[in-house]
Parts: sequence; C-alpha cells; structure tokens
Amino acid sequence: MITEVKLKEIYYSYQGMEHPIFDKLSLTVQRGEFVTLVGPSGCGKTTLLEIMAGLITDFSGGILLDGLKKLPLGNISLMPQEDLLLPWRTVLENGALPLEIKGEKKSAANQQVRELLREFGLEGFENYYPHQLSGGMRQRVAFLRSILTGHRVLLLDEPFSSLDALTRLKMQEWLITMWQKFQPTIIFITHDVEEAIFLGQSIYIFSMVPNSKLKHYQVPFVYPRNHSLLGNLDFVQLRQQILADMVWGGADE
Amino acid sequence: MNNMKKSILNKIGIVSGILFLAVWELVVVFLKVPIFILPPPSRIFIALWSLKKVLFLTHLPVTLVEVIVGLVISVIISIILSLLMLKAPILEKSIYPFLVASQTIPIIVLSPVVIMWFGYGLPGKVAITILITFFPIVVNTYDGLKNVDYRYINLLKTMGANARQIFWKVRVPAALPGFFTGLKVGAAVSVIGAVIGEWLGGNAGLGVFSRRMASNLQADAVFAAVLILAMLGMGLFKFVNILEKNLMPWYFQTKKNRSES
Repeated sequence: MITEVKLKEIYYSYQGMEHPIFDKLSLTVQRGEFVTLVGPSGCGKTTLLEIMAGLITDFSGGILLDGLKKLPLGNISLMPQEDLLLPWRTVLENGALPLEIKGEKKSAANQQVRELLREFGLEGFENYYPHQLSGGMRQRVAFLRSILTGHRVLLLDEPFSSLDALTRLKMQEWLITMWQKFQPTIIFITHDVEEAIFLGQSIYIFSMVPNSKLKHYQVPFVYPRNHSLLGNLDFVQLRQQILADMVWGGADE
Repeated sequence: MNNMKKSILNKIGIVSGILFLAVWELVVVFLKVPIFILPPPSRIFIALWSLKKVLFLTHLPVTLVEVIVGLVISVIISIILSLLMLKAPILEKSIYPFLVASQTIPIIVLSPVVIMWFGYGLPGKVAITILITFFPIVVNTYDGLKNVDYRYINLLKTMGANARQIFWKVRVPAALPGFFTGLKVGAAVSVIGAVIGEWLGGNAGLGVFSRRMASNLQADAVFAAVLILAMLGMGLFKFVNILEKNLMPWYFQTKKNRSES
C-alpha cells in the first residue's frame, strides 16, 4: 500500500490559547482509503482539515503528501460543510471552476463538466443556480467540483450534516458509489458515529482536547454497503464502543 | 396569484398618483392660490405642452449629457479609488477620510469655486455631478470588494487559485450588488448635481431654464422643468435597475426565494 497523507507529530494551539488542541498528533492515510474522523463538536476536527488543506500554516510538525513534503495548499481538495457553491455561477459554471483555475478554456472546462453531470444525478440542471437546488443536489455539485480539482485526496467536512435524515442516507450510499468509481482518497469528518462507521474503512476518534493519540478502528464491513447494515449486531457493538470512547476519552491505545 | 397581487399593487401606485394630482388641483382652485405661488397640475401640463420644443430639444439634451458624462466619470473614479483602497490598508486609511469629508462639505457652497476652476461650460457641471454622485458608488463598491466571505477565498486557494483569479472569480461578482446599489443612489441624485451647476450659470439646460422662469415668476414653467428633471432621475434609476437585473439574474432570484420562504 502507498501512503498518501502522513501527519507527523502535529502540535497546534489556537491564537491566544494556552493549551494546545493537538499535541503531537500523528495520522497516516493510505492511497484510495476512505477514512472517517469522528468526534464531538469543538474537538478540532475542522481545524485539522484546514491544516491538512494548507489553510492553516502556523502549526509545528510535518505533513507528507504523496511521500513528498509537497505543500498541501492547492494539492488537496476541500469540500466544506456549507457547500460554498458560488451563488452567481450555475451548476455547470460551479463545476467548471477548478478547471478554469487550472487554466483550462471555458468551453473545454464546461465540456468536461457536462460529461459528468449524468453520473452525478445533475442532468438537466446545468443552468440552475445553487439556490434553486435542494440540499442534496448542492452537495452533489460540491462533490463534483471537488472531483474536478483533479486532486487525489478529498477532505470532506461534515458535508451531510444539514440534510434531512432520508436524504442523508441516500447521499451516504451515493458517496460510496462515487468513491468506488473515482477511487479518490477520502478523509471524511463527522460527529455522527453511525455515519462514520457506515462510510469508512477506518475510523479515528477525537475525544478530549488536546488530541494526541487518536483511537483507531478498522471497519470490517465490505463495500458496497447499504443501510440494512445499521441493524447488524457487529455494527451496533462497534457503535457503542466508539460512543464510549468519545465520552470517556479513549485516547490511549 | 402572485402576479395578480403585483399588478394590483402597481395600479395602486397609479391611483394614488392621480388622487394626489386631483387634490392638488382642487385645493389650488378652491383656495384661489395665485398661479405664481403654486400652479395647479393642469397649468403645469399646459406649460409643459406649449414649451415642449424648448424644453425637450434645447434644454433637456444639455442636462442629459452633463448627467451621463458625470455619472460615467464618477463610476470610473469610484472603481479606481475602491481598487486602490483594497490594494493596501495604508491607502484605505489615507483615502477614506477624504471621501467622508467630501460629503460633509455643503456642495452648494463649494460649487461656485468648482465652477471657477472648470468654467461655465460642460466641465464645470460635470465636476459638480461627480462630486454629488461618486460617494455612494465608491463606498458601496469598496464594501462589496472588501467584505467577501473569506470561506470562498479559502476554497479557491485550496484549488490553487492565485490572487488574480480570486479577484475576478470571487471578489468582482461578490461586489456587483454593492456597486449597483451605489450606482442606483448615484443615478437618482446625479440630476441634482447637474442642476446646481446650471443654476450658477450657463446658456442652456433645465436648471438654467427653470432659474430664468423663476425670476419671471412663471411658476408653471418652473414646475414643468422640475417634472422633467424628476422623470430624468427616475428614468436613470430605472435604467440601472434593468441593467443589474440583466447582469445579476442570480441575485434577484435569490432575493425572491428568501422573501417567499
């Protein structure tokens, strides 16, 4: 297996704060892996993603990307919690944004987006503005945009947290299909333990600040998964275990 | 349903306008107000009709040119100032106070000086129009450019965007609503600037005309000119309104969505 992202002994504290939020935190993600990070709100999950994306740089420790000390900014794709589709761009134009930034001609970029619209369930909506779409569709556009950055690593920050329960279930299954199809490396943040288990191959658990050593589980279920899994006894046991870790702080091995 | 409501609302505007004119007419006639104090609407329309050639062919074009040239230069100056202030905090700190100060000075007091600098011709009037219109445009444009949601900027950075791409793909579109708000206010008051300039002197223009008529105690002709000036300001406002609706369809649809939900 090839290591895709390696965080080495990350130490970070918010400006003006005495105690760090990460203390020598290390994390390794393999190429093509689907990793979920789960933890309560306020535990620093989003901050870790921003460090990985290269938006926060005043931390100590190291990030190795693709085995190299490549700068993450501009090489890792971030899909934020609020979809952040540009309101003045249509579905087609939002999808084409990363291609335009890479310097592709507008017509060529639009063509590439068009070819993917059907696969993303957006056919017929290319000229819609974001506000005309449902929450699930907006997230699909945001994911399409992330894929089109061409980066191998996608960071997803609670993308489904604002969706209603049913749409969320559908989007989770849809995301797995897309992951199997495009085979990116996905690092997915959530506060929902079920979502973390349902989606991920491996799970890291955030509990108490400062986070230093994250408790880690491999998820035994095979893909493609569907939601009958939620009633599976092993699934339920794993969920209880992780919930206990989160509450009591399972910060040691 | 919604369309019906809208068309009824539009008609209410017309009805209240007619009602206003009717009351005006009746009050003037019954109280026997002299025409040089307050002419009834009917007299204003008669004056407008009988003077239509002079008003529309001699004076309106002059004022119109002053207003449009003034607005265009005002927009250019505003954009340049906004960009300079965006470029460096030191420029913002040194330019912004002057912008505010320029608005606290009564333009009417400063105008004779401006006319001395630029003359009684077109340049003088254009200069005063710029003085009156640039403030709302520059303030709104600059706010729009500056107060962009930083999360969009971060997102584009993760895509590898450079400063130029962030400027054109995020800042400019995000600043358009502010720019148009400023331009609408500027367009509506632009007529005031041109008329102040014309009152101070000149050969033609609706301001020159109305001043002449005022000194002849021809209030009906004055009101006729005022009516055209008001229409001109409203027309410019409407023009900018149409322009922004065509350039930012997303903005108006979003607003409608919000008000409906």
